[in-house]
Amino acid sequence: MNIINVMMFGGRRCGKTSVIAAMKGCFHEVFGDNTDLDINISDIATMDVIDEKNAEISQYFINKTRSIVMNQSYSATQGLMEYKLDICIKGKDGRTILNLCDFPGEWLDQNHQDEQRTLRSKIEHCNIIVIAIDTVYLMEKAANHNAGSVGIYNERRNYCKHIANMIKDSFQVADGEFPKMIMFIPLKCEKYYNSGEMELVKGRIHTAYKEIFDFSEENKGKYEIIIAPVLTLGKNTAEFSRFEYGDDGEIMLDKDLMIPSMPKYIFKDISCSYSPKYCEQPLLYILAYILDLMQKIKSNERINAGLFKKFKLHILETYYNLASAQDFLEHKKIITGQLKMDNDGYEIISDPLQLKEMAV
Amino acid sequence: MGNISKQIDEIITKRKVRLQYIENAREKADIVLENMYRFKDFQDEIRGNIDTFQTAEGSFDVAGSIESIPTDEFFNLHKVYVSELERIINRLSRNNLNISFIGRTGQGKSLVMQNISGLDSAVIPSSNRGDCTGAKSIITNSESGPVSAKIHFYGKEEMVDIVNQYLLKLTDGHRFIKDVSDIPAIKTEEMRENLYKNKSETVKEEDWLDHLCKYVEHYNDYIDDLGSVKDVTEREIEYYIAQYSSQNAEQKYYKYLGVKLADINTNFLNEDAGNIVLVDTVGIGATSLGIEEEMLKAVENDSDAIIFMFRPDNKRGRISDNEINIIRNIAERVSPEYTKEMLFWVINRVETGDSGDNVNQVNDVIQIIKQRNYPIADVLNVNCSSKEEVENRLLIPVLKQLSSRIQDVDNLLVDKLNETGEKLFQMYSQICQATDRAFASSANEDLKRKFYRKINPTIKKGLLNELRKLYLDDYNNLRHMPCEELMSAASGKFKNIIKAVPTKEMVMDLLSYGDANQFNAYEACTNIMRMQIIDDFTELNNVLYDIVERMKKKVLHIFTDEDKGRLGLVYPLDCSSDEWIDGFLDLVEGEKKYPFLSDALRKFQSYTINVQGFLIHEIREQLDPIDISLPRPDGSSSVPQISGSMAQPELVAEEIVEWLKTYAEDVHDNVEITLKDLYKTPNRSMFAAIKDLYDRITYTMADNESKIAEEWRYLYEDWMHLIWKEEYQQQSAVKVVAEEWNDVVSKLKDINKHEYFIIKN
Ligand SMILES: Nc1nc2c(ncn2[C@@H]2O[C@H](COP(=O)(O)OP(=O)(O)OP(=O)(O)O)[C@@H](O)[C@H]2O)c(=O)[nH]1
Ligand SMILES: [Mg+2]
Repeated sequence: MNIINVMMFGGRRCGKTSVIAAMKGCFHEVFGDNTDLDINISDIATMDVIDEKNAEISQYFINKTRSIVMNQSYSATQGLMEYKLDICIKGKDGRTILNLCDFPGEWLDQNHQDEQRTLRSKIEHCNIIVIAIDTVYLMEKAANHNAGSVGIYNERRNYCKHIANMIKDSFQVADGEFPKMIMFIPLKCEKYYNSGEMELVKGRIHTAYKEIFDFSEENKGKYEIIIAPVLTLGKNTAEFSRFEYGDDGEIMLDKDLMIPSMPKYIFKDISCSYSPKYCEQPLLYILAYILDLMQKIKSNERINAGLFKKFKLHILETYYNLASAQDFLEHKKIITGQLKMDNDGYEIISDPLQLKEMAV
Repeated sequence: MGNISKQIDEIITKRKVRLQYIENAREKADIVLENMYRFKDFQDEIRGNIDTFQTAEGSFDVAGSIESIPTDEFFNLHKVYVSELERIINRLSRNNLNISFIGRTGQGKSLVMQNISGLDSAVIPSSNRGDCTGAKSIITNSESGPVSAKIHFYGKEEMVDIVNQYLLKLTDGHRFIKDVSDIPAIKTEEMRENLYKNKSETVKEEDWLDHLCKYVEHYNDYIDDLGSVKDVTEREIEYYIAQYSSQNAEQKYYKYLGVKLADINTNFLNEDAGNIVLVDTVGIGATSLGIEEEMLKAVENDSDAIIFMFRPDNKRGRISDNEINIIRNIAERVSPEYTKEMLFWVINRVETGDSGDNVNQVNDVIQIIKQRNYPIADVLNVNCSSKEEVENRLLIPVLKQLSSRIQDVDNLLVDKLNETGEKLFQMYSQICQATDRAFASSANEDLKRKFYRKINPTIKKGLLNELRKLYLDDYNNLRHMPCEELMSAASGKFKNIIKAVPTKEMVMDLLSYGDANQFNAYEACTNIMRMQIIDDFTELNNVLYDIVERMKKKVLHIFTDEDKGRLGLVYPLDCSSDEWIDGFLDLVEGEKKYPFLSDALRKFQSYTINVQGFLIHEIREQLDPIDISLPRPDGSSSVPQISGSMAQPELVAEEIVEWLKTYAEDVHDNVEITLKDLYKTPNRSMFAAIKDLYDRITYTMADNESKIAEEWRYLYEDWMHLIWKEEYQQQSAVKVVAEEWNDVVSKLKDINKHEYFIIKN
């Protein structure tokens, strides 16, 4: 049995839990009829939290008002959460467990040292880090229109530098180890998607997380790095309007955090409906990673095994239905074909898994 | 105390406060005069010894140019200024508000005054029998006590003047008296015979002679009273001011001939009349001499409000030249602005009486007055024989106007005074300038040569090189830097973009207006916002103005400071840059004598930066999101979706505000980013201005010669008597005069300041 650990990262209310919720929402789409892959929730109770998140989002579309504030703390994640999913190839033996780890964004604050120690030990056993980005804070209130500058509240919201340091410290790949994956998921980017500014979003991610990109450059071949924007509500839905101002014309700030306390979103078309876009992509990338890993494990087992062990594997795969390297490779091809790799802010920056080549 | 009387008291108290300023100005006027007299004495002294000075100074005529500085005009205007000052001092120190009554004889003046004061015809003679008020009287509203009066008699000299008025007229200026004791000896019989003999006599002359006769014949009636003041009881008043008894017309009185003024105290009928005084004037058109002038003086000196009485004739009832002239003369004397506030034209409506009613005529006359644009406060239709009408249609409207407007009228008078003060100051300044010019260009070649060692380094090192340092060291670096002040001022304006979004209440107002729908209201809001934003950013001009002025001052300090260009010794830099350049060039006759230099300074003077030039159009471009006449960049309409129903205006208004805030945010961010590139502009521009000035005053050539260098040298040579005052005095051949002169002139200049001539209003 193999366990793949995925950790969500991102500041408070960035959308970490929303990403997991979005993934769950498209299980059917991804694991539908066109693959022999299957996914099962091993712990139904914890998944309630995710269903609630989905309910929260669809709630926006039921009593629709022209504008909404998206910063509600009642929907915040309360503690460290782990969601376990079983993934297998239909009719084959051998399971892979996908372990999604979510935690409150608050934990990245200075005054949560204990929690951060927990996180660090988790990261060390982690294969994939998903960084949820509150795109609004990345984009708004920047000094100019160029990719080189980011919003003045970005760091305080998205903790870019902090996350970069944690990665550099605890998410290293030893020589000869399998590559790890870092996936950037910009959220709340409806405004920029609608106005054709996703390239700028991408550019600013490069600026804000420069340390991570530099780190991966220094460690060539060790990290698969992807930018994969997700519109959890859908295009032409609730776009960012403004950070609400007080009567004095100043943005209302949260006194402790010194970031805008009231980000307001507006429905430009009140008749729009819930239409999430690209929600399947994070899951597809994760699957591509898993399948690649499994395939490599399998073929390594064969190559490194002694004569007797090779024989045993052959017996298991042919007579006892154990999934083989060949099985994983085939599924990996199917999944890779569905990956979005460019446009709308998508980019594969570093590709030791060679997903790009496989897709063509 | 009632409302009106309280207001009147407040006015009087406030006047006393202001009075202090005026009295202060009065003292300053004396100081000014004193200085000017000292200067004039000095001129006289020079004038007396002009030959001595001429030989001492050689070809140049310093003495002549000192002696010929004209001062007469100044002294004349100063006299006018002081008399205006005193008039205002009088006015503000009064403890009452004065209402003057004027008009031709028999228009109802006395009747009205009776009906206000409650005094009867014995005290205020009024009658249909012609010329009956003999003397001028004033009636003061006093709270209590019986009616009483103070009778002021003419002084002996005044009496001589009055009699001489008639004598001179009747004898073509041949005969006059010197003392009152000469009056009885005036040969009136002889004069009457002459009148007949010449056959040129007119009705007027006969009347004059009649008046003169009274003074001669009744000499004994008044002679003992002259120069005195008498307290009299109500019953006695008539005896002093009327021409005959009210009981018995046969009983004639002549005491009035010596009376200058009857000052009567009584309690007015209206309880709330307050501290007011009624001033009666002798009817115009009476044949006594000097009456119109008396009236105008009363109006000018003793009036807060003026009531002009007119009773239209019951047959023709037209306004004649007489009335128009009176109005015109008064307006000329006290200014039409004044009469428009405080001159009331009362039309006396007669409903019954000896001469029949004039009701129809009154209506016609009022209509005509209203059509024509006379400079009056109001025209009042009053039946003057009715106490009720006099109170309600005359007294109360006049008191109301007085209490609400008199302070503005006082302001107006002070403004007028300041106009004279300003003129006087201009003259004074000109005299000060002329004193500076008197020694200009007085140096001879020897002296010039001696001063060359001072002049040359002052120009080259003190002035030009310092200016070079200013642009090289300071502004050259600055031009790569954003202008901090503009930046911080602009940041306030960014906030105002957000604040420009109308409130929900304002939007609801717009929605309720006529049959406006939600889109009209939205459009109206965006239109208002755009204009407001542009207006607001245009205000940054104030900041730019300050920045530029500071730069100009820096530059001019290099011209003027004693350790730099020293030109402040010619014309001090204690004013704005603009004023300095004007004043300096004017004094040194720059345009005529140093044309290239003047040209350079004028160009520098006209240099400005304003937001219209480099910023407003950029801002305008960012306002597109709140301009529904322009489509969005993707070609879609700029009109947002507003879904609420007009049946719920509050929800619609909320939605509109949300949209406006969303787009205001776009505007805000884009404006902020756009302006970032522009903050350097002022510094770059100012660098260019200084550099250009430097180039012009350093390199200007003409006919292959450095004309500008020549002009600099001439300028310093011409003005060395001020630039190096002490050294010059030591060297100059007119040393002694120069010292005394300096003393006089520096005193003169010490008070060459606005505050010595202008009252803060
Ligand atoms: N408009 C918009 N809102 C989003 C999007 N993704 C998430 N949100 C909203 O962002 C808010 C925060 O999302 P969460 O998923 O709870 O954020 P989180 O990172 O888990 O927050 P913590 O658990 O408190 O650290 C919620 O109100 C979401 O509805 C998006 O793509 N667009
Ligand atoms: Mg969460």
